[in-house]
Amino acid sequence: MLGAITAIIVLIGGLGVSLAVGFYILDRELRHTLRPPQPAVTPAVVTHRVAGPGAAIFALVTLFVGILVGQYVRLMPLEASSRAGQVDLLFNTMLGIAATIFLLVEGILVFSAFRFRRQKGEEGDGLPIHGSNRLEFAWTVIPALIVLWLGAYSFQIFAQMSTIPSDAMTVEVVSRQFQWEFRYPDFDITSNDLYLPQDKPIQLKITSADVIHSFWVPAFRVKQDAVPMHETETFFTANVSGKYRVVCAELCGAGHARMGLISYAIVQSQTEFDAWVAEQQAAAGQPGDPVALFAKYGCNACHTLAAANATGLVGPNLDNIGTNAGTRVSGMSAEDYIRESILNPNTFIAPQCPTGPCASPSVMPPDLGARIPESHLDTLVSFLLEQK
Amino acid sequence: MTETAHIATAQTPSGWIRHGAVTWHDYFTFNTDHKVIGIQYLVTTFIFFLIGGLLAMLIRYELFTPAPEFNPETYNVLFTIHGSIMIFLWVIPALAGFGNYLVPLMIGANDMAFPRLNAASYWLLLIGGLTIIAGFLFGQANSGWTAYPPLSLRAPTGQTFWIIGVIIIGTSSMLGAINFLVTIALMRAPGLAPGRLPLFCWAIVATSLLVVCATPVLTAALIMLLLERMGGMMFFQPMPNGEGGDPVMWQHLFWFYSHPAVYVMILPAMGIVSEVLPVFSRKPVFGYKAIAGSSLAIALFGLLVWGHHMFTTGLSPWLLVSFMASSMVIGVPTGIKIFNWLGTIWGGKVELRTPMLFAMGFVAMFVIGGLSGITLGAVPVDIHVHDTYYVVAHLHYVLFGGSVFALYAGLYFWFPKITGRMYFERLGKIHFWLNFIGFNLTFFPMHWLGLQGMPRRVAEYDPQFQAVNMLASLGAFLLGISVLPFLVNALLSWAWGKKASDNPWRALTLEWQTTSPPPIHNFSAPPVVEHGPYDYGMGVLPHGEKAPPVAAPAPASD
Repeated sequence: MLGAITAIIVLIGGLGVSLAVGFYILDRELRHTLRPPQPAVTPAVVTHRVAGPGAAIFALVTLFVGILVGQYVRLMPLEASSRAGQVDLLFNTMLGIAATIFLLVEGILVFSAFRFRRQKGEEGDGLPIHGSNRLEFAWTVIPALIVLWLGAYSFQIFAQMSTIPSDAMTVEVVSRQFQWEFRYPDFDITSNDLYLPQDKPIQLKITSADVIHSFWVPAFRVKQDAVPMHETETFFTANVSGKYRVVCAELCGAGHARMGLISYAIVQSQTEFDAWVAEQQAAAGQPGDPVALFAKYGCNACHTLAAANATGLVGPNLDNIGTNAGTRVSGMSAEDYIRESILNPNTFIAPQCPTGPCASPSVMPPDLGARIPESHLDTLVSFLLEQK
Repeated sequence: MTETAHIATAQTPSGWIRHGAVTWHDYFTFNTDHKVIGIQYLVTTFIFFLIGGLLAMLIRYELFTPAPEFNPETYNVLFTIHGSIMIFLWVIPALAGFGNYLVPLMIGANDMAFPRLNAASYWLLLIGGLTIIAGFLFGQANSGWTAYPPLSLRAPTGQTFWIIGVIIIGTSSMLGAINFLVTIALMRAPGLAPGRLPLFCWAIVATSLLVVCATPVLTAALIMLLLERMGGMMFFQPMPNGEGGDPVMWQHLFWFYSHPAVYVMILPAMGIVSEVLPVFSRKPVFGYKAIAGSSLAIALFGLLVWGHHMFTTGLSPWLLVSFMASSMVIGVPTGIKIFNWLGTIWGGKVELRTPMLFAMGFVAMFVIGGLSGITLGAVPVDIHVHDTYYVVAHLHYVLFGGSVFALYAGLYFWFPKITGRMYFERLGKIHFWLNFIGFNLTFFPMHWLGLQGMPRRVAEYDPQFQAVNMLASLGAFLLGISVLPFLVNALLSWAWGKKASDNPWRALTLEWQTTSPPPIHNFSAPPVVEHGPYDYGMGVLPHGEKAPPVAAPAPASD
């Protein structure tokens, strides 16, 4: 927010200053070159005189403002990974160049609108200047050199980003509608938040169980698509401890937005990370806390359930499911209905979802039965039965 | 010209096919007059623009607060249909509508090369558009205008309607492109050498080449998607055993068309701007060959950059680097155009009529979209901002600040020619300023949202982004209101506006050398071209003027 305000102030201020200086000088220049009427002046001379010292000073002013913008305007969020600094430097370099070109173009445009405005009653035409090979050459070659240099610079940073670190810790990322699952093969644990030891190189192996998702942590400047039945990878080192959002960047269905609001990347010291690993290993195989399980299996992205602090709007509200489940199918107990609905989401479609009738077929993952241990299923079913 | 020379008055060549408009109901017939078809295109697409705009208002209403208001599925439908309408049913066909109306007039022909094909392409467009809209009855498409599988394979029945609709619209577009190419190649008036062709026609040539090369690929991909949804085939859905299809293949095929589609949406818009700027600067266009040539260069490079939409899909690093290089290089011909337009205005006699305001607004806004485009070409930055509001900002600066500003410039500029009446200037200027302010309030803040971490296509978002989203929504509502002065202006002046002369802007291109509106066969006598389209200040007398208003300076040797 502060960055945006600074950016706008600097841009508008820069525009003002460069336009004021540029107009003053350019106008003085033009008084000499375009003094009407001047039938003797040939077009070639005019073109060259216009690109005189006034234009050069105007260009220098815009360049100076561009450098200030590139140097001081901060539009990127906190830098929390080893690559973030480089990416931001590249971005700000381009921002500075863009600001210069922006000021040049807008300046000339606004200037022309005032300086070359047709006077009332004036009927004549402008000078028949058809072009200038010298200028065409300049505004082809100079931008070409700039983009070639930017390309080379981007390539250099990209090459560094793509180098596989030797001592990286691997985390497998499995995305599905609508949940992130982070698996640590070295420790045999899984989590819905991405816990990372600070300053440790990380290799993410990313895949999807259903549609295409995209793993994005803005603070790390890391984004990689999760493609079903295919493994993509990315490398980075988180170097500032803290809690950062994990966002889904690729449209993946009704819970797409929520998928960017439920998981975090949590960067801790190595000691804290080791303690977290030990705690998770100890908890494995335990029946588990129902609220934690409700999040672990991704229920919270789609369902509202006050007891689990869940506010999802895709699937039916579960606040009174313990009562409602017994009334849905005659002759079926509430427990059987809930168990069947978890294992085979399309057997019954609930009539009402929070903002309209429920979608059929359901987007709920059909493979939960294969992933959920019996003890966890029992815990969840009895937890849901209590919701009256 | 011989093919159409026999058509001289309103008649019915064969039963239900009509040619030319005598009364208003001729506009609702299968009509082979390019001017009738042009108006059919422009009016139909503007109605689609209003529908797409209303969907945009709903999107910005949803985003006014971080919490969701609509069902998330409903929200996905909103932006899917908003994007599809704006691209397939407004910008691309509206520009084709200008092409239809203007190309035969600008080259001195009395119709397009294939008038019946031309009528067919309009009616296909309408049928395709209605097919997409009909999806609302069956559960509308909700997988974005990009329709990435596997998500689009799981979408409701409306997605099938969407696929069929886009296939029909693509076919309409291809028929139109072939017609333009043949017309411009074979039907130019005597004396209209390629070097005297108006820049709008050059832009239509470049655009049509792109459409002919790229659209069949999209059509093929859509048919594959259709067969997979309906016929049980498996092109895109991967299977656990390593069999099945590849969802990334869709992205290659889709973007092989849809990146060139960006140029299909901007090149004719640039053509319109290249027509308007010299007229209201009273100066020849600066660097005619550079502007015409850069259109062709953009068309060529436009076919080689599709991979920059896929930097995060896990393509091989060497592919990424090649696509990065081609994407950055395409900035150069775009820059050439911008600098030449500045050269055109520079030292002219600038008259800020509404078309000129929109054309200058185009240059001012398009440059922002172009510059953010360069940053998106750089892989390390794109990886961070891909699929975020930064991209939403960029694409709207190009497509709204660019194409739509140019469409408005064209609508005001040729309004006297098309309707035979003048629009109300003051209302036009009010429209421009509301539109300009609303547009920037809506889309400029989105750059920051994307850089800070807000993904696109979300119905709810991190509350830290609320203030800026509110600003964008207020801007969008202003932008929505800004259409009203245009509508009032267009309808009132079409009915009661001051009668327009043949050549109210004192322009030199051929469409101004006939009556407003032109007769059914366009010109009372076949025109002969004796000067360039932008020879202002060289003693050429605009059509309709009896004597030079002031002593013209001696024509300069070129």
